[in-house]
Amino acid sequence: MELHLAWLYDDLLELYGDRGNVTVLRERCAKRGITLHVHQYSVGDQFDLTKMDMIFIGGGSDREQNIIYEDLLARREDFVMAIENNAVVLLICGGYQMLGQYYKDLDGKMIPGLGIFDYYTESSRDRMVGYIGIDCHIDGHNFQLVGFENHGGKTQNVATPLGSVFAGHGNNGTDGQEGVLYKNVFGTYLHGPLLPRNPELADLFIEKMMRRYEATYVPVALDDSLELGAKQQVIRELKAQI
Amino acid sequence: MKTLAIIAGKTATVVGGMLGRGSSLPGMIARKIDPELFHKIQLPKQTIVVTGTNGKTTTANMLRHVFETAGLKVVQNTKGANLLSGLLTTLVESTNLSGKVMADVVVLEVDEQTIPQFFQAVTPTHFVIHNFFRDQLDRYGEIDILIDKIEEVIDPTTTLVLNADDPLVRQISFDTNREAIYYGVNQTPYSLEEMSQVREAKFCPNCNRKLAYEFFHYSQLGNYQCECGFGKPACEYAADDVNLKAGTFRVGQTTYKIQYRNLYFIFNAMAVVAMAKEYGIDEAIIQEALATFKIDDGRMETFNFGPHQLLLNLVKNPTGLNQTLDYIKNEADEKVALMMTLNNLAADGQDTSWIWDGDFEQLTQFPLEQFICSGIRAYDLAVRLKYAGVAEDKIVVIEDVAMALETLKQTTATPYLLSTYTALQKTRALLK
Repeated sequence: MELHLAWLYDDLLELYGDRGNVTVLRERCAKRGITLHVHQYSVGDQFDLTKMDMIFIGGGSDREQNIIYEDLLARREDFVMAIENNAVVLLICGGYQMLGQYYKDLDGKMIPGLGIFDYYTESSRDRMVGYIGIDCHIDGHNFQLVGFENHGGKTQNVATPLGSVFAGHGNNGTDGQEGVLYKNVFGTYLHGPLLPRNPELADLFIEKMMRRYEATYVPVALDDSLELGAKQQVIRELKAQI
Repeated sequence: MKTLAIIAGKTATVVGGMLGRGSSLPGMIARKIDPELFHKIQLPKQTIVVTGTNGKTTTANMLRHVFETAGLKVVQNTKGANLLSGLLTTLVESTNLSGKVMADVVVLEVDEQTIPQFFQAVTPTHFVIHNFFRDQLDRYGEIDILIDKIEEVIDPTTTLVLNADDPLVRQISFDTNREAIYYGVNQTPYSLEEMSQVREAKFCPNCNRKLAYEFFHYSQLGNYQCECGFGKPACEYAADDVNLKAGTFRVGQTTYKIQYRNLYFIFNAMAVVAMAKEYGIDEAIIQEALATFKIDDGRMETFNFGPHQLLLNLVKNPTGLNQTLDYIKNEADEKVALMMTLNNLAADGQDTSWIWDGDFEQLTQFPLEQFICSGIRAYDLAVRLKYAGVAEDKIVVIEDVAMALETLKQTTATPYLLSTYTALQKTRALLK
């Protein structure tokens, strides 16, 4: 079996070890006999998002997000079609913000988003930095996700969040919610990177990609003692803070 | 008032010494009494500030060694005090009561994030900028913002001494349209046409086009050019004939020998050669000082370790880590046993995600016996190794550093130890 992942703008948006997410997906696919082809696409490249099983956009600095915006806008229709066709989409920090209505920076300047979702983000002076843990209930799977957040933007008006915060800040530090989940779109402020410490989520992505082809696919369980050990180290630290 | 502040600062030094307190107390006290104090301190003929992400401690120590070999009296912040209060403490301690620094030259290693504040208080004659790599992003924010801030605070009287091979460093003289003294390294047998490791500055800082490289040394260091005119400038001091096996390189007509056979050490040495020559130190003295310089603070430091010699090195960001792994790979003929202590306290950077930008994948080409993961975030490291392709039966997790060292001692392979910042001094104490 072969699956296709588009890793967008990896040459521009690759703060915080984003490559770790891609490595983890590729390896966990390989252990199930699946070849995950990773396509690294950037500004000006020719590519077709609607042919992808998964799309990943990581985080970057403001300068780099500005370079990307025009390119992404030109692909908005393809992006919407991929989402409606149940492609898995993982958006972290900047990628998450860009799919909303707008991003307002500290000087009050409005940077429009793709407007695919109703949420919007406004920058604030008190950066939300530190480890974060959230509870998720997705398609009958219940698990905790941990990661590191570092964002000045506060995201509001998320209709369907990814999870509820048990330690840390989340979307805006006030409503106790984190990220967005719509169909197979996962937007979040958790990096760290996200998937190495959260093998449950990596496997959920693999399940969702495979179910585009096999309606009952369930990935076989793997030995995740190291991954869960890393998650437990973070959870212990988070519980000590609460 | 100035005298009072200096006396207060000096008294605090003595009392602080008796109480065994941290090294930053006197500077804090002196600053409280007279905030203008630091403008009134009389600095000697040269005050050199060294900054950069990697190599500033080693560069500053080597520079001190060169000046001292030349018989000069040097004031340096040797206590790892490279944040504001520690720097000011160093200066207060070195003055006489009329505020004159009692030395021929001042060498200060300054944390890159501290530069904007520090330059409000002290104007150096020379400002050496060595490199910018991604480091502790959660504490520091982004490199672009840092560079902008540094550009704003450099005094017109300060001479810039810049690593020409780093486009981010070069950007500072380009943006501010300033003259600078450049040092660098010409093409070597180790230069690469492609760079797979994580790096900054893929895009021209002037026009955002992709930067073209004739070759890379490591990370974003190398010979870069852009259509817009931005590029590596000509160097006053350039290393040729780099030979890592022999530990030699040539600058002009002079060949220098060093004890540490890796490229990043040669960059450190080039910063030193440039500054020593600017000061007017005799070439023979620089040669002697470079050949005799030894590091003894957990940077490429060796220890007797059971039947072994153990090499300990500080690692705190992907580029430093990659350079250390390259070094071990080049040195290792027989089996190697690695241990790394990964902490994530405030001084390390809370966020351990930098390990995912490190090139641990190259471990699969090592004659690796085992890799012991230790420290507060031992499991983060173990997961990283697993996904880098290291066989799981070679990955050992022992969070406690002392216990991990005992296990490392049992090895029959050549041991190497990498340590993050906050684990370094504890580890050194255990090794002594």
